[in-house]
Amino acid sequence: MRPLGANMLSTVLSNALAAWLLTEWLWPLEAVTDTAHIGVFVSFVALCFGLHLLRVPIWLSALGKMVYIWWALSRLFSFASIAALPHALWRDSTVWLLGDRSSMPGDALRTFVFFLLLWAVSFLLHWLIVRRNRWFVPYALTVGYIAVLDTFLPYSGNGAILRLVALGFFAFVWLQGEELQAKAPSFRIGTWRAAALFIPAVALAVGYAGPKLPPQWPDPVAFIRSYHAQPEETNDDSPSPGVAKVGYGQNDSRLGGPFIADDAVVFIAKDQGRHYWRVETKDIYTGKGWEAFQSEQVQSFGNGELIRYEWWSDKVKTVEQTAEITRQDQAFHLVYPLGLQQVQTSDHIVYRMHMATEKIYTSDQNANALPIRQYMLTYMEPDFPIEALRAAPPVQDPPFLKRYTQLPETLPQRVRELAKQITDGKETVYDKVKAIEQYFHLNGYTYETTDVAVPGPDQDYVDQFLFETKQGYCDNFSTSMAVLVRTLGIPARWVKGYTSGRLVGEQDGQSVYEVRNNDAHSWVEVYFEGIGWVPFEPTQGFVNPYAFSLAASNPEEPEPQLQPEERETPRVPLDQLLEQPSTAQGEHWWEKLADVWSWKMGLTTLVVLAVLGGAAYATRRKWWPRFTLFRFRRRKLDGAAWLISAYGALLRHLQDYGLKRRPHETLRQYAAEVDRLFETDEMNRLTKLYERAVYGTGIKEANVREAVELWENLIKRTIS
Amino acid sequence: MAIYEPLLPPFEKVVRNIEQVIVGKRDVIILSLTALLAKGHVLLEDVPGVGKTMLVRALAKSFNVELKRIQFTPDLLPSDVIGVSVYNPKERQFEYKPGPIVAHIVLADEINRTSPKTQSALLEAMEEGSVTVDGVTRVLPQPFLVMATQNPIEYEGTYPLPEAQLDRFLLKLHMGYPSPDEEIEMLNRLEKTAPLAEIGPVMSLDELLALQRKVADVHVSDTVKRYIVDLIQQSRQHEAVYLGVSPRGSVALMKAAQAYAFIHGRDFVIPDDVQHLAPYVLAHRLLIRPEAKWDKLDAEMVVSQLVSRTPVPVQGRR
Repeated sequence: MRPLGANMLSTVLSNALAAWLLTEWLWPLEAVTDTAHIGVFVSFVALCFGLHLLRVPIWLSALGKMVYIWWALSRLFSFASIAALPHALWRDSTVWLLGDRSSMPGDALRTFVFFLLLWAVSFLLHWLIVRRNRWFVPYALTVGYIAVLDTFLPYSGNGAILRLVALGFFAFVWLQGEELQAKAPSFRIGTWRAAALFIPAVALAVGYAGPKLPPQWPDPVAFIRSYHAQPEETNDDSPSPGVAKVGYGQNDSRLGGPFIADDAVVFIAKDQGRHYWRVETKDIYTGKGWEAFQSEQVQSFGNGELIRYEWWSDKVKTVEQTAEITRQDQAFHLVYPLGLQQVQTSDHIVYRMHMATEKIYTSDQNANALPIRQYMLTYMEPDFPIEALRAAPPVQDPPFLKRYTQLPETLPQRVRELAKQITDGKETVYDKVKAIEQYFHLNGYTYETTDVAVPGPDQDYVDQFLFETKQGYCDNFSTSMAVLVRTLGIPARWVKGYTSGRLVGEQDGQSVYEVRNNDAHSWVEVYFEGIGWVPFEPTQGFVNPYAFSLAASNPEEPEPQLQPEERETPRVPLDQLLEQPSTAQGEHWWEKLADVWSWKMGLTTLVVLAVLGGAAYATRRKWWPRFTLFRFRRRKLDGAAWLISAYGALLRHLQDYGLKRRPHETLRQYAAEVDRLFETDEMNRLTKLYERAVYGTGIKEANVREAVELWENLIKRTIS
Repeated sequence: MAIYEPLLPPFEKVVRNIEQVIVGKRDVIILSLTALLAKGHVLLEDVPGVGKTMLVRALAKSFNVELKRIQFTPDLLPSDVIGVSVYNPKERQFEYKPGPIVAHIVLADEINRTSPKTQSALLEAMEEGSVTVDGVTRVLPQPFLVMATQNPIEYEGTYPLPEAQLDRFLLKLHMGYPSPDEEIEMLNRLEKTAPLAEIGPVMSLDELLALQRKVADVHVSDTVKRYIVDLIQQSRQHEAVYLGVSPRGSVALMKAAQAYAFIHGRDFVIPDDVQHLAPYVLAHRLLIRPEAKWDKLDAEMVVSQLVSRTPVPVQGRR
C-alpha cells in the first residue's frame, strides 16, 4: 500500500523514469543489431507505463496493448487484413515448433514475442520501481548493459551514459527526499525537489562542457584481443579461416568464414538517388574465390573530364545525377555509382581506371598514389527496360564469352545441372538470369554472418554453399549466382563495393547517407547483348536498388521495383520485415528528430522542460484538482471503491492546499479542522460516509450520490 | 467532543437520568455504561467525596437493579464477599448463603484496603462471572458490573492491587473535581432535596440485556483491528514502559470500542473510538519504569504518547 501522502507528481515521475530506463535498453539495439523501427517499441513502452499511470483497469489496459501490438505488427509486416496477423503467427509458430527449431522462428512471431517480453518487463519494472521503490538493481543493470555495449561492441554509449547519470542522480535525490519527508513532516520537500532538478543539471552541463583528461586506462578490448591474438583483417595476404571483420578487403581469392560487424563509417555520401557504390569487378572464379583479370589497359582522366566509357546502349533510359563523397579514411581509389560520367575534387588528381576491374585509382601527374578525401560525382542513373532485356539475344563474341563465362575445371557437375534445372522452361536470357536470382529467395537459403563455412581443400566454394550449408552472406550469394549464370553460357561478373548505407539526414535537398564497413557488399552484373552490364541482387534480404521498367501495356509481369521495400542492412532478420511501405525512403519522424538532435538542443529542451515543469508545479493548485475532478467523474466503480479512492485523492489535494493531516489524527479530527477553515460541514459529512465505506460494512447507493456531491464541492474548494 | 454522534436514545435517557445526580461528569457516565455493555468492570480511582458512590447508586437505580456494597477492610474474609455454606440442621445439609457479590451491580469500596486473599476472591468472581463455594459453582446474575474504588492518596495500610489483577478491570476512570460552576449547580440541587431519592428506573433489565447482546454485532474492520494492534505493539516498545499491554488488553480495547460505538448508534468501530478509549483501557495495564517518574511521566501520559506515535489508518488495505 502506498502511503496516502505520496503525491501524484511522485507517481508520474517514477513511472516516467522507469519507462526511460527501459527505453535505454532499446535504443542501443538499433546500432548493435541493426533493428529498425525502435520507435515502435519505445512507443509501446511509453504506452505500457502510461496505462499503469492512469490506473486503467487491467482488462482495458491489456486490450489497449493488444490493439497496439496488432496495429504495429500489421503496419510493420504490411498485412493486407487484420485477420492475416493471427494466420501469420500461427504459421510461424507451427513452422518453428514442428520444423527446424535450431533456426530462429519467423519474423512476425519473433516481433510479437518481443512485444510480449517488453510488456512483461514493463510490468516488472513498474512493480519494482513504482510500487516498491526499488531502484538500484534495475538502474545498476542498465549502467552495466550500456558499459558492456560501449566497450565491446561498435556502439557509442556517450549519450546514454550522460542520460543515465542524470537519471540516477535525479532518482536518488528524489527518493531521499521522500524518505526525509516521511521522517520529518516539516521537511521542505519542494525546495529539495527543485534542487534535485537543478544540481544534477548544472553538474552535467559543467561536466559536459568542461575539459576532460584522456582515458586513464588502456582500452581493455585491445588488450583482450592481443591476448588472444585473433586475426581480424581480411586485408592481409594469407586469409585465415578465423573470424573476419566485415569491411572492404582487397583479396577475394579465398572466400568464406564468419565475420563480425564493424560499425566504423567509411564515407558519407550526399546523393539524390539511392544505389550501390562500386569499387571494382572481378571475373576469374577459382573454385575458392575471385581473382582479377590481368590487363594493363588503363584510362586516365582528370578533374571534370568526361569518362570515355559507354556503360549501356541508348536503350537504357538514364537521368543525370550528382553526388558528393566524403571519405572518413585514407583511400587511393574511388567509390562510385554505376554510370559514372565525371569526377571533381579540389586537388590536382589524375584518375586512373583499370579497365579490367573498373577500379579507379587516384594519383598525381606522375602516377604516384594520392589519397582522396572529398569529391563530387556526376553519373547517369539507369532505368533498365525489361522488354529490351527480354529481347536481347545470347552473346556471340567468342573472346568476350571466354573471359566472362570462365569456370574452373573442378566445378562439380551438379552445379551445372542445378542451373539447368532452375532455368528449365525459361526462354530468354533475362528470364533465365532472373530465375537464378530469385532461386535463392525461395529455397531455404538464409542470410548468416557468424556460422559460415570455409570450403575444404577439395571443395568448391559455390558447391558447398548451394548444396550443403545454404547459409552465408553476400559473397556466397553473389558468387553462386555468377557461377550459375556462367554455366549457361551467359557472361557475368562479380562486383564489389558498398550498399547505399544508412540515411542519416537531409542537406541542400540531397539525402545524406553514412556508409559503414558493415555496408560492404558484393553483387552480380550480367551482360546483355545490345544493352550492357546489368546489376542483379541475389543476396537474401537485399533488394536490387536499380530501376527496371516495363512498358505499361504489360502489367502482369512482376517488377523488381514493386517489391515492398528496399533493405540496406538486414543483418538481423528481425528488422528484415520491420518495414513500412508508406515511408519508402525510411524517413520516419524519429529519424528526422535524430537529425536535428544535438546536445545543445538537448540542453535547451531540458531547460525548457524544466521551466515548463516548474510552471506546471507552481500552478498545480489551479489545474490539478480540475484534472482529479475529470478523472473521478469518468471512473465507474462500485460506490465504496469509488469513495475510497476519491477520498484519498481529496486528502492529497487538501494536503497540497496546506491542510496537512498529521499521521495520528483521525479523520474526524481532521475533518473538523478542514470544515473550520472552509466554514462548512461538508468534510465532516463526507468523512462520516467515508468511514462507513472504509471501516464499516459498505455504503448505500443513495449515500454515494450525496458523497459525490460533497466530494466535488470539496475538491472545488481546493482550487485556488 | 463535538465530533461524536448523539447517543442512542435509550442510553441518552440513562445518562440524563444519572446527570440529575452527578453534575458535569457526562463522560464518566458514558464510560461506565460502556463497561456495563462490554461486560467489563470499572476501577474508579479518586479522592473521597467526588461522587463515586453516587454514580454507582444512580446507575443501579436507572436500571432498577439491586446494588450491593462491600466496604473492604483489612479483616474482610473471602467468604464475606462470595458467601458461605451454613449447615442447616433441619434439612441436614449445607446451605449456601450468598455473599454481597451476588448482585447485578456491586460497589467494592476501597478495594486496596483488604488482604490480597480477599481481593483475589473478588477478582476471580469478576473474571469468571461465577463463584465457587464448597466445590459448587454458582453463576452470578447478568448483567454483572463491579465498580471498585481506590484512593490514590492514602497508601498507609493498603495492599496495592498487583498488575495481574488490575488487568481484570476493563476501564480505570477518574471522577475528578467538578468545575466551580458545576459545583455551584451541585450545591443548588442539594440545597433542599436529595436528588438520588427522586430518580427512578429508565430502562428495564431485559432491555439492557438485549442491548448488551447487540454489542457483539458491531463491526470491527481489519483496518481498525490493525490500528488496535499497532497501538498495543507500540506500548511494548515504549522506552518508559517496563511491561507493555498484554493481548488481553487488545481484546479489552476492541470490546470497549465496540460498546462505545454502539452507545453512539454506530454499527462499526472507527479509530476515534479506539483513541478515545485508549487512556481508560490501557493506562492501568502498563508498568512504567521507576526512572520514568523522574521525567514526570505517568501511565496516562505514556498512553497519549502512544496514540500520537501510532499513525491512524485512513484507507482500507489494498
